[in-house]
Amino acid sequence: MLTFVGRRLLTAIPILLGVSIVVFITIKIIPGDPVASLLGPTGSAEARAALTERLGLNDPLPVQYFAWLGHTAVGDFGTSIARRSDVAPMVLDALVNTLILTAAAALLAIVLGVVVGALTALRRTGPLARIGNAFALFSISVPQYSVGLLLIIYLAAGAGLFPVSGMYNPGGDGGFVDLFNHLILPAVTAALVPAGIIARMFRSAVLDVMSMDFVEALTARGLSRRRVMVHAFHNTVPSLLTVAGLQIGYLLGGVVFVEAVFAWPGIGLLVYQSISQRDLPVIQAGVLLSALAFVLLNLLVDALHAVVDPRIRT
Amino acid sequence: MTALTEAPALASAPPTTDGVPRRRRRMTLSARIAGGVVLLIAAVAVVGPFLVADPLAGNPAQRLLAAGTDGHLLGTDGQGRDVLARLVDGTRLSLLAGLVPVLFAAVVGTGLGVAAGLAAKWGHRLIMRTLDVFYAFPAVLLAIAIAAALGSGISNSIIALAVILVPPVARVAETETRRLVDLDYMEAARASGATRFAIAVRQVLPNVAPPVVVYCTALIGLSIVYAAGLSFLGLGVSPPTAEWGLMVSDHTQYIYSAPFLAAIPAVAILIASVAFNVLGDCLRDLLDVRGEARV
Amino acid sequence: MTATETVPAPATADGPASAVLPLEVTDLTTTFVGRDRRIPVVRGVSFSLQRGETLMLLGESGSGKSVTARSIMQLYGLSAELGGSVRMNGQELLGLPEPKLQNIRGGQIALVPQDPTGALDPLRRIGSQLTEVLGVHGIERVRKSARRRAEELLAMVGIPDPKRVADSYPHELSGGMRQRAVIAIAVACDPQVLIADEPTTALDVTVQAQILELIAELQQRLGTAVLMVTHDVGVAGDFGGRIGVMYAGRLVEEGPAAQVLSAPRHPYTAGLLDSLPAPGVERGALRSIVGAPPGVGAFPPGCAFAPRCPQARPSCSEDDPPLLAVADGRSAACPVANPTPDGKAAA
Repeated sequence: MLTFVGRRLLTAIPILLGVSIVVFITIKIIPGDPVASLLGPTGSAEARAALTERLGLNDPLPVQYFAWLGHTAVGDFGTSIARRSDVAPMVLDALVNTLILTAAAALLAIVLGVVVGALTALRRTGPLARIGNAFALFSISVPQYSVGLLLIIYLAAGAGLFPVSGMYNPGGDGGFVDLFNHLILPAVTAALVPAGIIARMFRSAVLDVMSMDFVEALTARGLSRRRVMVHAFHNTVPSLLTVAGLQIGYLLGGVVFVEAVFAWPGIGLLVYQSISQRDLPVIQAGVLLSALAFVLLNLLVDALHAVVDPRIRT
Repeated sequence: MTALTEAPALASAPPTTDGVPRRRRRMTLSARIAGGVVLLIAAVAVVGPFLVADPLAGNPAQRLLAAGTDGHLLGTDGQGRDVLARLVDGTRLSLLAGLVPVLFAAVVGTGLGVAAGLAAKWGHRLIMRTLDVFYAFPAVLLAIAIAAALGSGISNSIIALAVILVPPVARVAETETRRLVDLDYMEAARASGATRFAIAVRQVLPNVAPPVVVYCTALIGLSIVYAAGLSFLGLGVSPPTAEWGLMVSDHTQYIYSAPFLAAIPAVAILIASVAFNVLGDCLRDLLDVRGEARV
Repeated sequence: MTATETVPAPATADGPASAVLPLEVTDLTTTFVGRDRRIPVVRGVSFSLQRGETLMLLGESGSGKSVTARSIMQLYGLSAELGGSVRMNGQELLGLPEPKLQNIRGGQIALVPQDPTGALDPLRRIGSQLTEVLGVHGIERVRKSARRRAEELLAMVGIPDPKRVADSYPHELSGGMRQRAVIAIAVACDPQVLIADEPTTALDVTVQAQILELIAELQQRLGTAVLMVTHDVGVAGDFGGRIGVMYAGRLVEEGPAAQVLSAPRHPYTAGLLDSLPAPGVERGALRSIVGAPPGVGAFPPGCAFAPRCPQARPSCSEDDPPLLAVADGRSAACPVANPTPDGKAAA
């Protein structure tokens, strides 16, 4: 078990290195002169040359990469061009906010997906099954940004039930209730697509398991229908975990739209705002941290997988 | 359309052939509806722009007209432009922005996947580990970062989406290729002296194509939503061009005065996405049916 | 109609002789029901089992032998309609309410399925699957004693280190060990009838004999009646007991294994045996039965074997011959084997 996790951790290292290379290259191909944007239009030629030298921009690319990697590894993401402040705390705060939203949306998506998936697998006809199937189909097709807007229109702005945007009320106490109220609409919006995907996957997982031999064998042992179902659902857990892990990863990225619509101060919003300001260090750090969170999440899912399924615990 | 998802009734069915004809019939019905919608969208994309008024011509005196007034079937937007005309005119770009990345990913992803599946160990590793790196990013965020790096513009948004769609397609192709390689007839083909390339073209591609086609069809819906999403964030086409995602973000300004306005392009995106998703489902079920028949 | 007519059943004071038969199947029919189709798979099968007795159901795939076995346990739920009668100790099982059936399944009638891998929950340790069955049937409800009993059962089926196996997951065991564990679960509640559906088909040849030996040994020790389904004439011959030959959803011949295999009465049984290679027989001497067995649900009128039968008469494709006694303890469903209509054997 521990060796299993340890091995997985080792495989994550080359992937993270690859991730850092991709991020580095992405930033390097961006047109525009970072020195000019740091100094502003008034910078003198000497100042420009000095800064270029100081930033190491005259070095060959591999040297620049390793220098950047070294800084990044110790949490030094540089200085934001637009905000003139340290990137690291800014991005870390945003990451925490994104993780809050992601966790809430993931919880909703998993509960909704499992309920709808089980329902449509066990009852294949009738109005409930129809509603479930329609939900699974439409929810994977919706553009999240529009759903978010519609929710704002009708539930927030229209009915005044929920706050329109942000994470806390300005001047509020920043308490949990305030956070919860702000969280509901973005979480529902972000959860829709993964809920639909989980529902569809879980439905076929249930059908797969129910068609497996051991269901009949368990019935033949004299177990009640309820007990047999407990065994069957236990056996859907590994595939549910795989799908849920993928979808949470998807959420980490997909919340960008939601954060943009609801002004949720997460990584997505930060990156979105930095795009228009061409604030490259922030974009770089945001994407890198998201990828790091994503890789760690995958590791966690792998470890959980080994916990629930003895067959892969080797 | 909802009838379709009831279709694959696999579990615990008695050993009968019963129900299969009915399943097929239902499937073709939803396939027909979805196919019809897709054709309609395609037709609108091709000839629509010739049938409607100038999508860029706005009359500031006619701002935010309600649907149906003054011959504006869907009303006018904040600059007095006809919403229907913009919707129809935007179909072409919205569809292209969603379709082209998938086509690109289908070709490149299949190539990479088949190559990895047939390659020797180190080649397989090299390709798959490289793809794993792209898997390590949350896909949407990576697309946004790439699009942001390249700058706005529809071609850049297409490139960004293509990059994130290649790895999953390649994985599907690789899995399928690996499965084929283990089969006996591949052994026979190798033993008969066929080159790797010949095997790839004659034996592997025809078998890898169906799952890839199914997968890619299902990706189109997603890709359309993402493409519009990039425009929504300001990373796709630039105003005043008509495009669905851009229309959503444009109409958002008037969310309080004309709340329906923002819903119109959103519904267009939804319909297109649902149609392609249903089509993908039908293709998958058809393929499963064929698989059953082969046994 | 059944072959047991000729076998004297041990009578007790409790009631008629048939009341103590562990299993008595009369005119069992199984029809799978679809949305707009009904497919008969088992068409009037009758047989019975004494305490400690073995009946081998021998037949090709699609003959309905497995479906017969599963119908006795009523495992098909709503997807099949059952007809006729299945009695255990005189009690009718068909139509019993589900809770009572659950007590009987795994308690008095147990199943050993074909594939031991599929028969075990892959995510549960062997020990926990055993104790679950013991608990459900009220044998051992206390955890500790159930665990002890589980280890005893594993030891009884010839597993050398029951403690370790009880703590193992199914995938950690070999196929033979898995099948032993499945058998341990099956005999956990000391069933009167053990239904073994091709229990060795999924195993290595070397392990097959061991498993058959184990079943025979348990049968001796526990006095269990065994209904074994097989397509393997060799298995049927080795195991002994009686043989029932099935074709197209019907029992076409029944009798003591040695006699049926050495002097078959039904042309189908004869054809089946002729098509087997045997030591000393040249390959060229093998004859296969002409044609192919009818597909499930597509049975021809009259005797289903008539189109392939070398001795078919015109009447064969009109009337389906009933299973009649042809000799002491033997019966066959064929006018060739039953020359006289009163059921007295000619040979």
